[in-house]
Amino acid sequence: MWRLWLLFDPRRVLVALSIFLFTLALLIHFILLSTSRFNWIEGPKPAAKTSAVVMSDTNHA
Amino acid sequence: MVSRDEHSGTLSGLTDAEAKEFHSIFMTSFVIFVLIAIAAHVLVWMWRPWLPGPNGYSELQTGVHTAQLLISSTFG
Repeated sequence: MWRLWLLFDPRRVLVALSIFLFTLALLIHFILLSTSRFNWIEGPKPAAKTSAVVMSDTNHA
Repeated sequence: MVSRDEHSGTLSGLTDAEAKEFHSIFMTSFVIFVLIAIAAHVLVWMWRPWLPGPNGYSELQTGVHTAQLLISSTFG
C-alpha cells in the first residue's frame, strides 16, 4: 500500500482530499439543515397545514 | 511521457523510506478520522435515526404506543 506514495505526490493528495472532504461535509450539513427532521438549529417545523384547517373550520362552525 | 524524479527515480519524487514514513502518518490520521466519524454517526442515530420503518418515522418514536394499539386490538 505504501507504494501508492511513489506514484502520487502526497502534497497533491492531501490538498485534494482535504478540499473534497470539506466540500462534502459542507454539502451534507446544508442538506440536513434544509430538512425539517434533521435541522438542529430551528428544530422540526410544526405540521401546521392540516391542523390549521381543522381549527379554522371549528371556529367558523 | 511522464517525468521521473532524478534523485529518487519515482513519479512522486519520494524514496521508499519517505513513502513508508508518510504512509504510516497517513494511515494513523485516516483511522482516527474514521473513528471520529463512527462516533458522530452513533450519536446522530441516537438523536434521530435516519431510516424510517414501513410506517414512517412515527413508528420509531412511538414504539410503546404501537404496542399498546396492538394489545388493545387483540384483546379489546
